[in-house]
Amino acid sequence: MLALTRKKGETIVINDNIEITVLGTNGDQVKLGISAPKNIPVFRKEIYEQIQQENKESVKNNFDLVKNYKK
Amino acid sequence: MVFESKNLGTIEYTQEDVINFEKGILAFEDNKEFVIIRNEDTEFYYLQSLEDDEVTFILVDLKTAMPNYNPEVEVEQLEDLGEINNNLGIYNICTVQEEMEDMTVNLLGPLVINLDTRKGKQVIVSKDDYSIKHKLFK
Repeated sequence: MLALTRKKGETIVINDNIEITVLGTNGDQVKLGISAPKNIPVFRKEIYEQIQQENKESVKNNFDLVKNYKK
Repeated sequence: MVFESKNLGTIEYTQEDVINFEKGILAFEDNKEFVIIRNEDTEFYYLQSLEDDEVTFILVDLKTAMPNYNPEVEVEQLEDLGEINNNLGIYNICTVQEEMEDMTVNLLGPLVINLDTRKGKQVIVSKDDYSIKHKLFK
């Protein structure tokens, strides 16, 4: 992993169209500003992991419950 | 064509029924081709992978069950679905293990399917206060 040291207000550029700026720090929290084209989704990693986990759970469904479900 | 699904049994489908998830579904990226089958006249659908007979999702169309559900994504995120002519299907993945009434629905990561181009993807909606485990029958 590439490690770069940045100060508040400084920016890194990825692939000439994504910029990540350190907006500030508060204790062990770092606030980042991300500017990227709108077709590039940017989310907290936990959100991805939660959806992956939920998808994995949902293929273990009890299919009979839905097969027997009547409106 | 015929596919044997572990969960659904024998499925008959035509090439036009196939939906392409080029980028796959999160955690199931190896599965690109699926067919979607309605569960009789209910709001539920099955999404069966044509590459893995054990990968079957249960989907729900929330239009009637939850008319206020309004997932927003940047239109640019739908670019890889091809030209969109008002024929978008939005389906949410269900998880149900013990009882039907305990079923949960993932509101945060819906599947968007362009029914014209037969291309689909899982998106994450911008409003991240939508629940991943929303109880549908409550």
